[in-house]
Amino acid sequence: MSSNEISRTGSSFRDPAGFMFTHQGTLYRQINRFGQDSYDALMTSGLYRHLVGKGWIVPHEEVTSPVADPERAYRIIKPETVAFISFPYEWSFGQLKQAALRTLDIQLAALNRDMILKDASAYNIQFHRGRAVLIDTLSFDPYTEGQIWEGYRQFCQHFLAPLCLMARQDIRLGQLFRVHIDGIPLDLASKLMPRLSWFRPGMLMHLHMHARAQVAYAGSDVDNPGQNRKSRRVSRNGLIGIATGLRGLIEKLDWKPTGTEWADYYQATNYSDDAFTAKSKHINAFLDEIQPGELWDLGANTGHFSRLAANRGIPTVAFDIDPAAVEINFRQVRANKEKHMLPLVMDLTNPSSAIGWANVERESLGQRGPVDCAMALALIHHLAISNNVPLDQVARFFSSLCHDLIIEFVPKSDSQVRRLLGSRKDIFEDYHEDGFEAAFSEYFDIKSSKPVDGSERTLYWLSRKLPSPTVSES
Amino acid sequence: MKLLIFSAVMLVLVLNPAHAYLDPGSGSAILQGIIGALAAIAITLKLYWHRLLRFLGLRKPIDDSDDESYDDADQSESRGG
Repeated sequence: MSSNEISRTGSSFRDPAGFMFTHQGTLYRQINRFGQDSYDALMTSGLYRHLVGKGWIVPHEEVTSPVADPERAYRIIKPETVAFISFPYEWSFGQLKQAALRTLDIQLAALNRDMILKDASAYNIQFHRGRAVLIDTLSFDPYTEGQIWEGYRQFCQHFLAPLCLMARQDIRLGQLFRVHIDGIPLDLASKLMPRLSWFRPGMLMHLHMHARAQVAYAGSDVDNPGQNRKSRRVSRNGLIGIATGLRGLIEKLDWKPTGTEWADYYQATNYSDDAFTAKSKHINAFLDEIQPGELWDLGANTGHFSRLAANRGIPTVAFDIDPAAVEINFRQVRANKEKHMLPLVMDLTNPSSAIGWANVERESLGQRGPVDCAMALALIHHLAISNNVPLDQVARFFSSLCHDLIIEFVPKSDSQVRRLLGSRKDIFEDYHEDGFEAAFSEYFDIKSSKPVDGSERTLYWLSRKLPSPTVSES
Repeated sequence: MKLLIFSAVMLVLVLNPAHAYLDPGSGSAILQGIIGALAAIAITLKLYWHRLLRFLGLRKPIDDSDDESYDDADQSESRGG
């Protein structure tokens, strides 16, 4: 695909200390001379070694080439590759919480070694081998006694506000992050929080008072330069206290899907045990043939079938629209220390689009593909019937996402589809197995199809015919 | 007076690190000063309280290493691997 060209990453432009770029498919970070002191301090203070030892920062090696901008360059580093870049609005509650705690732990570790986190962006955290790690090696500055944490506001907007809203008001409020790319504005969060939150000292100070302080002092530096300087000193103990306080507050936040029993959450499916076993057997046989390097499971629920791939060591992303399913999946990843599974919240009828500056800062789902192999099990009826997408358009979209596709066709006679059609007129004339094969044959070769014993469904292995058609984003 | 001017100049110098690329925001910075001061007092009090308890033999010295509930097992794993 890409050549010898050096291309700068779209999200990497804010910090003059350096930037990311790709060269021949490999990701590098250039450290500019502007960031020389900070980088050297990170490496010599023992902080880098400590964080790598803990598994809290993505490890890197220094390389001599390629150099993207020789005039400014101080060092080039090659970080370990993160299999899939995800964004905070795609994380479940538990994932955002882990990312928040990781950020605070890194801040505390830094302060311990005369360094400080200069920012607190949720986008700087990624899930790598099942764990939250900091990917921005340039997030540190040497600590100067008395200085404030410049990333305090950012931390509250990126982590505290969405976590409080999700835990205390409504899980869906986390999606405000999609609109507010730099985190949820604190005045908005303060308005949306329940009244009782005013009686929680942590929420009172870091959210409500914080929001009011922003309004009260907006522009005060312009009006009275220097007047407020004195109150802007924070001692090291003060910074440690702030980070520890935030940590305690966030540690206590919890969210459980209401009205769902955790234990039997996955029971409401249409399978007999036989069908479940048959389906697993066919998927395993397909995976044996395909041998994918990476896999996306579209509509993965809690990741039962995704694990057929992940347990083979295939980096697997398990997307689901339901934050409860994703949360359950993530807790399982944590509990079993799974390294190859990344659960994410994704609405496939409205997948993540490219957002941010010049629309290139955060990639759309499609831009992060195509992936070697995708699975779409018990999904097609939700797209074709609930969302009225014609089958050929479903096929076209899938062909833009993956090379090989393991897909389950769910016929109208299936109880799940009957339920969807129960309350509406059946306007889906082409929705049958022949119609499905005709639509998908436009874009894929049918390599194999297996009836799922114990159900009326069919499992297909499809392989893409042509190079991916460019799906226009408009 | 000289001392006052000197400290004012120092404050401005110290508080405007050349590397800052994020705007901390005036309100956030001022609030941080207040919360930071409160937190520092709390930490100091806690420290003396623990010292007192230890002095009275009511508590064993605590291990200061950062132990998190979260990822202890992962740590040993990554060290091993």
